[in-house]
Amino acid sequence: MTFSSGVALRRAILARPWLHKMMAPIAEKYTDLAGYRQLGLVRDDLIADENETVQEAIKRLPPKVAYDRVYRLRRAVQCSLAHTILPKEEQTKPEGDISYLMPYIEEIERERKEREELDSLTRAK
Amino acid sequence: MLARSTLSRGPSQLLTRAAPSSRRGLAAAAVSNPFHYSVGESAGIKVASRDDGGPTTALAVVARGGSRYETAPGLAHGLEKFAFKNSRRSALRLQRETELLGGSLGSTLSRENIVLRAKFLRDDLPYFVEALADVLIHTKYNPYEFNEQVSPTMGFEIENLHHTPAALALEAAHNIAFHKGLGSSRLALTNKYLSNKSITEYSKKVYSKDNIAVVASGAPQQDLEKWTAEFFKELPSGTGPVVAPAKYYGGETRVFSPHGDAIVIAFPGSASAPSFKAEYTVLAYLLGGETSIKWNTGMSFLSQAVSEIPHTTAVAKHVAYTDTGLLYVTIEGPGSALTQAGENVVSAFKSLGEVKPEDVKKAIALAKFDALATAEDRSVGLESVGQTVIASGNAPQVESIVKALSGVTVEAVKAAGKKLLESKATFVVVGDTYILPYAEDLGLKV
Repeated sequence: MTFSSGVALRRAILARPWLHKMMAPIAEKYTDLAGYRQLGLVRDDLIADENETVQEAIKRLPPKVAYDRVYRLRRAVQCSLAHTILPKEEQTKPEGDISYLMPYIEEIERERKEREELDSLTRAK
Repeated sequence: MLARSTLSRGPSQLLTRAAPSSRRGLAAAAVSNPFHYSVGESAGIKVASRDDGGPTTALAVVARGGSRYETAPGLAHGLEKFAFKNSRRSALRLQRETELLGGSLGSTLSRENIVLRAKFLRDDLPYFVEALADVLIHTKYNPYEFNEQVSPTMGFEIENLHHTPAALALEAAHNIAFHKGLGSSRLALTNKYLSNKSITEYSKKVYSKDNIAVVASGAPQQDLEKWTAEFFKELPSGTGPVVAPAKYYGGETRVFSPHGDAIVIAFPGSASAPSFKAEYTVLAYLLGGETSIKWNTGMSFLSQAVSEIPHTTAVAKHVAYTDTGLLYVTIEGPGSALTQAGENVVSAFKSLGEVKPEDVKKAIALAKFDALATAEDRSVGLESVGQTVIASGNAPQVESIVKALSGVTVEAVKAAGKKLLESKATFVVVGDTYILPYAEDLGLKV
């Protein structure tokens, strides 16, 4: 199980239009109920970052993106402490919910996997 | 042959190929002149090679994009260090595959060129032509690779430069001898102008068809042309960066350094082929400074000049660029001894006017030996061949260099020696500027 396994599932669904049509309203409802958008977060902010892979990915973010991430997290913590949600206009719009971190995580996972494969080469007869 | 399709089947295929095949007998190519470079063109790219039938090959892609062509300080250095990073395949995969094939990859930077090099067993030519083409065409220039790998490596080289007084003095000498362009620092002294974006832009300017040459030693010309056409065809065409011709200025500068002392005295020299003047090379060997025999100071002018001063060396070198050259002497040693050493070196320069014919003969013999020994070494001469091929479309042949050296007369050397002292000198001291001499103290005109 890696961070990007969910992405693979998502791609599999997107590849099948009928399945996508079926899943889209469920996904919409789910994200709405999850409530992170009301706190001004985007989905990639919820990825647990207490591990090397995600730490590395965060290091690779462009400066502006990294700054925005910290800003969103602090704002969300503030909302959580105050038991409030953001006013409607400051909440994350569905089109603003962009996956900014996952491409980096995927790349790092790919790099690690490649290294593992190359480290365990055996000679073919 | 090892083509892309073979690679995609996985690295285990490579392992079986790692052993040298005995298909080709070494005696197969009994070439009449193994030093002769043939030049051709393939897919709009100049290709030069020579084949002595040996079991290994040295391959280089020479790109006219060294520090004299850069549009902002340090771009050439950044681009050079980005070689063999992630491209179509990852940097790691390229490295491991190269290891499996028993090859090695490297890149070097000079004032004129960025050179990508590969050394490998002769049968692996297609794989390495493709690897070098990938660097030029497909390198991704990821910002995080710049931060994680490229920038620290550049930092180490800068650190190394600052801890080597002689190298620092030579850098400063170029700077005041040629000012901008050729005189700009070879390495990136600051990262201020560098980003993956600026480096990508510079790469597009430098890595274009008319601006590079593929040079190989130990590969048949038609094979090299064939694989170059196949792998380099996607390279965009373009004429490369523009540059103003170099002009010699000269002058004096002093740099404080806590890491040791060095003096560089330089004079205008000769450009490389075709307008190459062999007497300057002979002059450098005549001044010499390096000994041919162990535990001996040597008999050349400069070795004699500093032989009485302990722990001090003075070495003369001539470096030829496309449109100018520099003849320089590097004096290294304890700061307190360098004033005396400098005076001795300057009087050695002055004695060039009445040089003895046998000394010139000795210098010519040494110069010839070095020219031929360099030609014998597979990987050494590739850059100068590539540089001349890009500039003029012809390869410099070692026979003509040796012939030019043999034709140097005592009078020509004397005249060149006189001309040196008449021209404005370049004088650099690096180290303890309190005790190091000024040009005027040594009797130099700057």
